[in-house]
Amino acid sequence: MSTALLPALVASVLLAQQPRDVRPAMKLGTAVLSGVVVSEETASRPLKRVNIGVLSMDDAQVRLMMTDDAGRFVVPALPAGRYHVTASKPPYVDSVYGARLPGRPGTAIVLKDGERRSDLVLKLLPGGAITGVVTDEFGQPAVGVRVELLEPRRPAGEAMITSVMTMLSGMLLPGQTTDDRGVYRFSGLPPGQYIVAATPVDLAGGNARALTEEDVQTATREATTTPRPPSTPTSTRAPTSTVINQEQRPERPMQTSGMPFMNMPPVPGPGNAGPARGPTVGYAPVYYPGTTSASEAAPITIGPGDERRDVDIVARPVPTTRIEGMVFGPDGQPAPLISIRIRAEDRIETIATAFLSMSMGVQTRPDGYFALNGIAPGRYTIQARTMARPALPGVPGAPPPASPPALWASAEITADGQPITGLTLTLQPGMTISGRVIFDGGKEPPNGVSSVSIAAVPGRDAGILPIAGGSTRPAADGTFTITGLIPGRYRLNGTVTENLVPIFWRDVSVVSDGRDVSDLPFEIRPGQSVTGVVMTVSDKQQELSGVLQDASGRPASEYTMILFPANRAYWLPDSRRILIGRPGTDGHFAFKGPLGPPPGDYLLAAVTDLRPDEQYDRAFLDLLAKESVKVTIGPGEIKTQDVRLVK
Amino acid sequence: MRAPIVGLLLALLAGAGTETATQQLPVQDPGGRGGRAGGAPETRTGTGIVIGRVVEGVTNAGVPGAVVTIAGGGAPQQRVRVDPNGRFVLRDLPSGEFNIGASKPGYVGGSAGQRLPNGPSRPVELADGGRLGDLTLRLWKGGAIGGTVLDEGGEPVVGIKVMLAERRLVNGKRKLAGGQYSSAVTDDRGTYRFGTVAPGDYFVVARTSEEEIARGLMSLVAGDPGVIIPFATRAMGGRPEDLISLEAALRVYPPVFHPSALSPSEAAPVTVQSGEVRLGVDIRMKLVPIARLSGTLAGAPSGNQPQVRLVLSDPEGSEFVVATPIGMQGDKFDFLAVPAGKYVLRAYQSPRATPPPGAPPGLLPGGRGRGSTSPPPFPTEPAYSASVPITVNGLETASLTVTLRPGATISGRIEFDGAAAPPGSDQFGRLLISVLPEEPMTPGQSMRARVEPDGTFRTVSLPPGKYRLRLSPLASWTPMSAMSNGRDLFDEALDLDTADVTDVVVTFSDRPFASVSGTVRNAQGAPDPDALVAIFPVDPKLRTDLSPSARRLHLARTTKAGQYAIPGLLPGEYLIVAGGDELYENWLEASALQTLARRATRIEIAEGDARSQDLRSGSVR
Repeated sequence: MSTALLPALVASVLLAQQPRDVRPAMKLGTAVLSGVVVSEETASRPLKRVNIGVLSMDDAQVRLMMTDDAGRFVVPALPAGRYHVTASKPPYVDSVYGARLPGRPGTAIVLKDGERRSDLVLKLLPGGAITGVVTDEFGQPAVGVRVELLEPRRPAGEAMITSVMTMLSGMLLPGQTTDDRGVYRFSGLPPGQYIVAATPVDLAGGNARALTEEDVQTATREATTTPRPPSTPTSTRAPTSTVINQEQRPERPMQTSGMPFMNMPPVPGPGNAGPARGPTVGYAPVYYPGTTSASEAAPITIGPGDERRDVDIVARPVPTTRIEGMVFGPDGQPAPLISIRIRAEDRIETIATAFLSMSMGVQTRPDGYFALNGIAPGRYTIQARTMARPALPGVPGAPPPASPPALWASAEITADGQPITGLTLTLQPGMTISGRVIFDGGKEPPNGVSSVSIAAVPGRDAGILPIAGGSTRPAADGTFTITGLIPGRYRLNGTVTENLVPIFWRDVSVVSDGRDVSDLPFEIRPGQSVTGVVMTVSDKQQELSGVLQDASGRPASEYTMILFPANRAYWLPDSRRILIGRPGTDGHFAFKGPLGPPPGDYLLAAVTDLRPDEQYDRAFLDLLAKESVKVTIGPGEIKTQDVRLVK
Repeated sequence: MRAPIVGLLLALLAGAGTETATQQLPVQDPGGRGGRAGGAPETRTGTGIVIGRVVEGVTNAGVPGAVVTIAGGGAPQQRVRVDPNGRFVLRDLPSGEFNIGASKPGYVGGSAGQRLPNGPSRPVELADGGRLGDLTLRLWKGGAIGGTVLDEGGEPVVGIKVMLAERRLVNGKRKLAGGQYSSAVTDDRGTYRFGTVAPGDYFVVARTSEEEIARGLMSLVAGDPGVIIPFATRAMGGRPEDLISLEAALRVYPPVFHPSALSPSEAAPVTVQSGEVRLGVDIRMKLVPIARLSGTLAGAPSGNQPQVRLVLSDPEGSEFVVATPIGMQGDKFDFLAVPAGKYVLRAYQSPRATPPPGAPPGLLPGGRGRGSTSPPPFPTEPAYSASVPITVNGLETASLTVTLRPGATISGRIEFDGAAAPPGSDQFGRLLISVLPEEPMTPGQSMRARVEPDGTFRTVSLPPGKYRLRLSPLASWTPMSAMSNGRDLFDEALDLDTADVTDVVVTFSDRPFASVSGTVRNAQGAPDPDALVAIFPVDPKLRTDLSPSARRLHLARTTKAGQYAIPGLLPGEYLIVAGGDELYENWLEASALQTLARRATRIEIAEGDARSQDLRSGSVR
């Protein structure tokens, strides 16, 4: 506990006399960190009330404070160690000490006992802003539209779009909703390129009947020319007025911003939305400047402090499709309560559209029938799957619970506004992966073999909300089977948990038919199950550390270290064998801990800057390989490798 | 990597500032009965047609893009998008009574029969093959409230959370109501805006949220993933809050109500009419020191007990929650970041059922677990609660001991006074007993009660406070009084302390209620089909219960012929008055009743009367 936090509470309750502190005391020391936060602009100025966070890399303790009116901060009583310092004040872009640019790794400050480091300067870049108006097809403000900010990226050389999470109403959300004027505004944006996508509210869930002038005229003629009884039934009852129950007042709609997907359309399902008469219309996600295709979206470039005010979008209804079908079991009988999901194949999935897809999921009725309403034009995969009872979370130490075999079926359809009927999905058993777990050197984890969890992780192409995947725990003899997998690409990972918390054990290798299936994805095709997998689990950790020096032998901290496999086959997105790290102010760098490098041959390089995910870019790694140091790390090896920069 | 860590940080720091007060409604113990079997109702089709138009309530202009929905009456649900003029057609309708409504984001109202945004709706009746060619559905543009949040130097405060809390009628008084508030965050110019605000009175309050404090931490995530791993690993293995220290230099903005008030009573409520845009609702903030408030709960049994719920709330009796603890371990609690200020700390441990003899610890019969079909067991053990004022000066870490006290129960018996044979004890399980607190409850507070086969009843253990009782009718029998110590608890709230109240006698009667009916005419003498009729006791003491379930206050709408009928009246002297839809919104307010009383007609109702009383409608403002 900091000495600054002295007990001085004035409370009219009993003050405890006994020591009550439920928290371990914060470690205190004699080092002091201080500095100033300034704006990074032409007329730089000190910034007051900036939230400062100081994170100890040694014991993970965090100290939070704020700059004074002159932008200064002081962190007293720090033990010797390595610290990261962060600064945050909207609408400036968050900053980490030592980071070359927003979003880049920072530099750890190394403090000795009694050291006073008072020269820290953290610079905050003014954030940019993107704002605009979303209108409907009548030119009226489109209220409550979810607007997402997306970032085009090229990790591993592949074009993709990721959602930019923004803090809103205390939550990190993938976007925001338009206000009563149809206005949205993103601010505090780091420089970069952005795409804006709007997913309009559709109160009818895409299932509203589109009315034509002819419909109205025909109905009006019928109403006026056909003699019918009066609309209000005559009654012999005494006149009874409506006694109003005050407790059942009409709903009072209120502004609902701040809750994710609060404005999602009501879920159409077989029970709550009958077939609409005539063609139906709904809204599809629109990308600025007005396309439903993400590939045709116009990126918006934002520099420091830039404001783009004209990013307006018009939402227009599109014809929607109702899809009806039946799901049958392997025995040919109608399958009730089967989960049906639909996923767009020709649309880049964002978090908003992924949730939209999820909200459109239904279950089959007792007779196997299902109906999906309000499907916007496009190509889709419809997937039926039984809800396999997951083997996790099981109780470590207990045998894995038995679960019924998972079944699946899928079909591809094209929605063009015309109803699709008679779709038939026949369930078939999911595929399995089976094998056994062995322990490196025969040493088992503290809680035995059943504390290992084995997961088949779907590849990136599975989408934001993967519907595939599975996990299990091995039996007492180490054998395991993951059931219910649908066709697709997977990797197989193993971790060891203690009370459901991962501990420092993990798979060293997972081999199937002599092939590494832990780091390299493999494909499961319909009807093809994988057997004979051998997963080797170990508590050994490898470590590579060293000091980065400049050409004159002084510690260099303004660089990012990249450790990547010598074998190009492992240059894959999210590979656990590609690691980045930043030296501290003493030039010391380390790749260690539970996420340290697996054994193998590596290349080690230092770069002045690294864009997010650039370490997975194969072309970049190819260039880097020529300027790298070769390092071989054996099982359990603690290795030191200093690096001197030559230019 | 990023999302799980962010989630962890949010989970860590999202304790305080939760403005969602999930309240348990006054519930009854139906003894496991009631509740219809599931399954969608069968739908019918017919040849009926409804043609109409959706218009803006003020300008009468068509509202293109609105969606009209019809439900109820056995008809399949239909949704129609209106044409550019706002017209719509609903076809294939069977005979029946339907709820028809229009909606469009940004608008309020829309139900058939609504003449004011907050006015009552009226179902649409259709005969077999009936045609209705002129149904008008009114939507009103929602209002908006916007402004700027400024610091003490007049500079905009960026990224601060702003909440919109309705100032609502709560038992006759307008006060800040609990529940879920709309929230917004100031943008890079310090401005905020709430759109689609229904007409009403609101408080606007801004405050630092713990998530904002965590922003510094989150910025770590943006950089080197290796940096956050030690933190995340440690946090997963223990109590994340143990890793955080708030230095003295950290300041926060306490809850400040527009324009610069620290409590709702000093705040200026903002009134919004239909479609009105209220801008300039600025808030002036001032940073204050922050305190970490930790402590121990005493007085309640330990062991396998329900979780104690704790909140720091507004000391003036509103339901505004300032903070909830971020971590509870056993009898220890911890509020991470409490702004300097005055609060009430409310603690509540719900009662639990007595475990059957020999049952393993923690195992109770029935319950709400998955697959359970039996009702949850009735809690018979005491509830424990505390309500203590606290002043926090900040700049400190404090340790408190909060002593919880056991609650008390309300119990008694039911009696039947009438000509017919009383209902059998097998029907007592259908009886619904409601316990209505008059003061703010701690979220999650249990209000259950149950009736035994021998006609006795009891509530669960309740925290000290004022409560009213309500019982449902039983077959043809109606509860007439609930007497305790010479007072009727149907009309007067019971002030419950820590002693059980055991002498309540609820008397049911099968004698017919009185009623009043008649015709309402407008100023021109024509029957008024759109009038509302309100009736309430002359004696102000009998109208202290101004809750929506008040048994002596009634409101009814006239028929198309201008006729009304109000059944279910107790004997006594009443005031009766007819007015427009504006009656609906405000009449359950003491001052509004006084205004109504001045132009009301005084009538006396005897037991079983069928009184006739014609009325003239007019302004009741």
